[in-house]
Amino acid sequence: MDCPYCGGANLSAAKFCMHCSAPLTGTPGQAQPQTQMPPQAPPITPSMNAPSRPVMNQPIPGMAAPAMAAPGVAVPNHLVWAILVTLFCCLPGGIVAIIFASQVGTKLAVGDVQGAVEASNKAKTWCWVGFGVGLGVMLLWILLAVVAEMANM
Amino acid sequence: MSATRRRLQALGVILAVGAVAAFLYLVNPAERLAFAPCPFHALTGFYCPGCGSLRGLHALLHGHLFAAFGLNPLMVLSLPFLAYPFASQVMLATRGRELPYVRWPVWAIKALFWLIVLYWILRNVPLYPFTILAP
Repeated sequence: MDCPYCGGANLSAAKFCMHCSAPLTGTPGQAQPQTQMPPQAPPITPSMNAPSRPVMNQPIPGMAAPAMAAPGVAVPNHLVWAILVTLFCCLPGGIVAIIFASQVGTKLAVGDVQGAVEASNKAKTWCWVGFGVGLGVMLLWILLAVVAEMANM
Repeated sequence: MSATRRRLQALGVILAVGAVAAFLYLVNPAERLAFAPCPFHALTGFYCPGCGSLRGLHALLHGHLFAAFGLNPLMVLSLPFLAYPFASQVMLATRGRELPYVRWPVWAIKALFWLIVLYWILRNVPLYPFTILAP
């Protein structure tokens, strides 16, 4: 099936998109856990399930518990590329990518999978922007060097 | 994306890193005009966090760790963090399995951002302890 977030093609049995890691079960609206609880989730009774847990972990009505929101979802934050672009290529794009990389984790922590995927894609885009600008400057430099060389001959 | 395609992609990453390393080993960015100067430095006269990275890598490839550290200490310190994903790509290309994915905690990414900004400012301060940071 095609991913509802990024449109990439996936195997029909896939549970998560292999391109952007978004969950593939159901529509994008269903994947947002903030507004609704899982339909089959049994009522959590702290005394039965987890006596050691503090009472704070009880789900507040209308809000999904953070840990339950996105089990096993790995949205790439592209941090490595952001660092590479910042330190070796073109700084501005890399810095922006680092900011979006941190947003991926922040949004995943509150269960906003769609927001995390969007931040992930933005981080990726800015890595490419930084890389492209760096490459462009490099190519322009080579072109100028060749022109200067030919003018000297 | 099939498993074979992922492995080929990993192989491509490894070959690209190897090619860049070979080129940086052979060509000294400080002497040759093969590399463009940093646009930020050329425009403003200030150093950016990446200034000295290529010269530093050239020094590092020739075994001059201290010279590399003098050119861009943050670049040298960042290399171990970049080595792990690279090793993961090597594992993917050779064994077909990546190393366990390590997700940086959000506070660490934010700290990295502020570290880079601070580094950017401090390496332009022309006073003794900070001049170590300049290339």
